[in-house]
Amino acid sequence: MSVLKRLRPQKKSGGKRAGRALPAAVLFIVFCGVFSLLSYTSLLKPSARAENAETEAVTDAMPSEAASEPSPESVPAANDEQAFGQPLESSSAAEPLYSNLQTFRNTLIWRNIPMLDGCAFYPRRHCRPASVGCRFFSGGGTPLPGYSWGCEIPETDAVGEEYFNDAAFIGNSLEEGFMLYGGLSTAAFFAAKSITVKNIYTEKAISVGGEYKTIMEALGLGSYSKVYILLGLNEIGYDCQTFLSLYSKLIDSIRELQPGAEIYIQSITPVSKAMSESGSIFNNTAIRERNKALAGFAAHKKAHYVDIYAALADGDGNLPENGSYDGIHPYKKYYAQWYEYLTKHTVHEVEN
Amino acid sequence: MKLSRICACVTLFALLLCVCGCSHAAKEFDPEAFAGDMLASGAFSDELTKTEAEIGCRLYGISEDDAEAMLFYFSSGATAEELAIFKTSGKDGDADKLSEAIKNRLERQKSVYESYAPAEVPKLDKAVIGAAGAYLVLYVASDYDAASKAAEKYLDS
Repeated sequence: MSVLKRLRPQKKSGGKRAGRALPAAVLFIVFCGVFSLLSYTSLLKPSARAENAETEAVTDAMPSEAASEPSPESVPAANDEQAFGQPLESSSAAEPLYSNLQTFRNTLIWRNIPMLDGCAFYPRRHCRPASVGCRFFSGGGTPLPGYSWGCEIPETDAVGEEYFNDAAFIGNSLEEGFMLYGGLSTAAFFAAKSITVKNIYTEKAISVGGEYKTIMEALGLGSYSKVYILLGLNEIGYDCQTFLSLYSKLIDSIRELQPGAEIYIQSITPVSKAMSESGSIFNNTAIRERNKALAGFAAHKKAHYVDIYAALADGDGNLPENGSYDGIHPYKKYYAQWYEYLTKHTVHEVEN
Repeated sequence: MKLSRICACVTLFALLLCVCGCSHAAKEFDPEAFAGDMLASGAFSDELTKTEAEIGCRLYGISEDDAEAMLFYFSSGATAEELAIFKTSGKDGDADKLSEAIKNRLERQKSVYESYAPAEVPKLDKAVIGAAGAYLVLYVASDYDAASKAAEKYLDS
């Protein structure tokens, strides 16, 4: 009996143990959950640690359902993007895979961790690893071994205007401005004011033979090997995820209309410092943040990302103050800069 | 006496020729000069830039064959201001077709700017479509007083 008593669990002490164990278990579960969440946020990103070490604040805010205000400034580190211009395969056979943080960030594992910041589940970083057998060349035929989808396109010798003979440019008023003042007469342009990723299918804004059609209808009437897209400024107030989701559908639609065409996603253009600091949603902080998302999105959709923001911005990252009437639409000479940028940043895929 | 009469008649005839010639020159419309004066008048607040006729035709929904000559000046995109000059070919219906195209352009611009930049709609409401001989002119300006002052010596009243 005494043996049984000893073996029988002591209710009092067992109860106390259970009482202490339960909150501990709950705490442990909560801790695991928080840790998992944090592991996907900027606080634990190597880039954040690296940038913080350089005294640059990086935040990946969780945008609200219908964000009308931009997220806080997130300045892309040049080194960060440069690191991701490198191919997955090490250029040097002797280089250890995890010898340093940047190399680790180039790995397939890190590249494909989804980005839980509201900008949908796209690869966290630019530069999707190139597929086996996939090679990239500039428009002039220069090999681009370090390039991959969504990466910064390396600058090469300018191509001639004929390079754009089989190109279509679609987009908003800024693309319309490029049509008017870019000096490119050989390409097809389907652009108009107030075009967005939503109304591009419905707004009959393009005159074709005297009849007005939507941009997508007009695009479908011809055959193009390159499609350049400029959208995003009119949608700067959209939630990022919504915007990219609609953009994704647009890319798919374009690929249905132009199956063999390479897609070039042009970055959103900068606004002037005065506009940016006026409290408007059209500010360069939000634009740069959105452009970061666009670059990652381009990588995901196997499209090229063309950073025309860099072509138009001054040293402070703004559209020059005397460069526009309203701080948004540049004057003619800046479209010439835009065109020059396009001629020097060309890329196409050649499959082995 | 007879010689002096002949000289007087010749002189008078020459004078008459000059007067007729001058008045004819004053009536001949120079589209480039007109555009230059309009752009210099301060009528436009935005930077208007001359554009290729092919692109202008695209925006107006016409073909290059619809007019003998065309000049287009478009804004940066920030405003609805623009200047367009067409020389009709003289064929039947051409002037009407161009007028229709100009009116359609204005209507489309109004519908776009109503949501895009509503402050520009009043400029479109006051847009002027004028004629100067075989030429049709449209201008959408910021300062219509300055514009009409510059245009009055060119356009038919």
